[in-house]
Amino acid sequence: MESNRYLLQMKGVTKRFPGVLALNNVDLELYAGEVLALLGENGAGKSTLIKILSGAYNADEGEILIDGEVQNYHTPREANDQGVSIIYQELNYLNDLTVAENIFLNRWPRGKSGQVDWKKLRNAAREILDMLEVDIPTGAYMRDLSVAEKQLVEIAKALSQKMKILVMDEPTSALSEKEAEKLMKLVAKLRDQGTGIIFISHRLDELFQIADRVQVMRDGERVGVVKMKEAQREELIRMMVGREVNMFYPKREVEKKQTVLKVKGLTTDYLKDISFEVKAGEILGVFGLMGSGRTEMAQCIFGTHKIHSGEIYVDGTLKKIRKPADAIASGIAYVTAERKKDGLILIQSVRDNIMTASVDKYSTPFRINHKKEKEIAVKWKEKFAIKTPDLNTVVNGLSGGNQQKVVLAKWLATDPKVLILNEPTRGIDVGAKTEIYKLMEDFCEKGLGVVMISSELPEILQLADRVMVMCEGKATAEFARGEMNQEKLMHGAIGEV
Amino acid sequence: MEQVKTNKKINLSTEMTVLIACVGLFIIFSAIAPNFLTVSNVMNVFLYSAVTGICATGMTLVIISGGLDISVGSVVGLTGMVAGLVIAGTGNVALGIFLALLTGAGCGALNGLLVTRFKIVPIIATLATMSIFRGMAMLTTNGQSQIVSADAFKWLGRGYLLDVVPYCVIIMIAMFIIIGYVLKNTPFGRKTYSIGGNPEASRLAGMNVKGVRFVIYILCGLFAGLSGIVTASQTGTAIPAAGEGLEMDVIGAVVLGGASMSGGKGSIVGTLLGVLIFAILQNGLTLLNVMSFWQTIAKGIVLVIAVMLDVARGGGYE
Repeated sequence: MESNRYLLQMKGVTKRFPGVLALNNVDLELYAGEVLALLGENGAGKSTLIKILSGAYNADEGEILIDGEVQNYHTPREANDQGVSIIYQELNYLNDLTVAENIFLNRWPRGKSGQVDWKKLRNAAREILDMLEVDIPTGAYMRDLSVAEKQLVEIAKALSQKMKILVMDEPTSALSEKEAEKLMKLVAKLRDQGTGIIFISHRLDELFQIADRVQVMRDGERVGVVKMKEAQREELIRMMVGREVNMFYPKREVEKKQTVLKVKGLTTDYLKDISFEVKAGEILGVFGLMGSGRTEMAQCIFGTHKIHSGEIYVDGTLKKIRKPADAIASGIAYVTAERKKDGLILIQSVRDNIMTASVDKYSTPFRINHKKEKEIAVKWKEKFAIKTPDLNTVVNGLSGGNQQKVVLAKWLATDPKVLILNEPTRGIDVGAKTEIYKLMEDFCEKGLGVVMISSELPEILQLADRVMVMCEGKATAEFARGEMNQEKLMHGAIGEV
Repeated sequence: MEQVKTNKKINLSTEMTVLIACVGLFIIFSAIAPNFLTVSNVMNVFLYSAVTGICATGMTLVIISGGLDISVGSVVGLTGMVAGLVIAGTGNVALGIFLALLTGAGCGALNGLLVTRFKIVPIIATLATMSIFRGMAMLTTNGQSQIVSADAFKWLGRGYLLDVVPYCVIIMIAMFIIIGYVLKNTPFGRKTYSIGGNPEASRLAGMNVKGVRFVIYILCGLFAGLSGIVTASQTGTAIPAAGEGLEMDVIGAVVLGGASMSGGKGSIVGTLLGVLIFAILQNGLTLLNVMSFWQTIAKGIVLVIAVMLDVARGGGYE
């Protein structure tokens, strides 16, 4: 009986964010000495679930049991004390401290008068690293280590605490094959020592190699749990994407005209020979998971990322794009994925934000045409039905959907020929999503060419005329509207074509 | 929606609070300080604020754009020496003023270059140039003062229009009107706010972030140069140590006026009121025979209270 008891049990976990139900009554069970894979698209709720386990978020409903005891922690620190260690994709370390200092961060062994006992610190760190069979010097500075080594130090840090449960969020995404293999061996070793491990990854091969069971999530719910030995690729992919696409929003037929954007052989350190075309009135979907290079591709076209080789044509003319201003002058607009970080000036008004990319357009260097600007701002506010008390309201206080409309208005006010959208509806409620889809089609009808980068399959399936699928810097597949379905896209996105 | 409303209320109160504080101080001193409320004393207040005020117009641009320039005091010293030496040497007042302004703009250009091209944090870059410019000012005369007796030079700092309004006050007011216009009505002003509010979003919107910042530092240096000339004219002497500590008064006035050290916020009217508050405080306390050491402490207290109010409006240091 004892061996059958769960090490970790999450029961009926529900988490709401404004306008979004991120997790809906999700369960998760983990045994000691097993590796549980967590699989799902971006936005399926994996990260939210893990953040609740880590204490970074608090669940609205549901409970967490460790060793059968109900947990009551509310902060990462408290979760840590209960033996929960998380290694996030973005590692948490201090570059200017040594390996030993990082492993025992803020828990440095003390000497008689309270000073740090350096010798004890080094020896303790060495002991843990030896246990992991890692030969990184304890006195090395973090900044000099490779990503893989930094990850190992993070694992050592987790081990130095009373780790019972280890969560690894896409740990191999930044590693070379050889490094990943080494990490897998380590994971297996920790498992054999009795640690319960939750392993998040998109790489199915990896999961088949290391995981005992896999829990698939989709749209904030648990779809199912399968023993890895009995699982099949096809089945897993179907589980990941197998929602019925909600066709409440039918795609409008828009006449396709001449090619407005042509990208030829785009290559960077990461991207390999990306080529595609977009016609006026067309929406090209770009589907890819995290790390597929989709954002880098957009940055290249917009002049914020260095290109090794490749050509960009707008309306048939070769354009030299070295900075955003060049791209805008060429008729390209780019809505970034993080509107708060680099899309909006949060402390400024709706009106100023709408005008940000066209400051010079309606004015002389010595006089802003306030009247004209007001007309334009009013026009866009009405066209986009931006809900704001007035145009002088600071955008910080608006809802996500309305903020995104302000960003779209800003770019459409530049009269672009091509609009690149990166995750255009991330963190937006369903109502605003539909409105934004409708606006995109309105502008297609007027001859705009749209490149829509998205990791949300329903969005792509609903709106895209064609889809280019990307994986690890390469375009792995392209489908016309008639021939695409969820499984095909997901196959391409995890590189299994 | 509630949050939206509070934001708006806050915006309104930023300049209003400063205005109320300024008027309040004025009324208090009128009531208790002998001879405070006379035309000549009020002009004195303005006269005293001219040097800080002219300098603060440039600093307002810098701080709104998210930067900082602590070298302005040294620029005042250096440009004063250039003006004084050229005028004393050649007798050509116009040439002296021109070269001093050029020196100021050059100092600003160096700051701008260090910040934009070499990506040095503004406070460090200008800390370095503060030291460099001061050293250069000292070197011009080996630390000696230079008397400037040309009559044509005196009017700037000591001349009065119709025997009532000092010319340097007119210059200051003109500067505030011009910079106020630029901030409100030109694309350059709009970009200044945008870049301070979110440099990355501004860059992605096609703005030449580095270019705008570079120009702003040049303007700040240029206006500090004008302050330096006025200082030399007011005292009739070019002093290499002139303007020492001025940067703190100037930054204090700008912040008092509601500008945010993290950029994107601030107004020229606020800065003018901030300058006046410090000037009224100093003038009133002097008339009340308060020791100057206490005046310095009072200035510090006013600044702390002002910034605490700003923190209460949102933001703050964490």
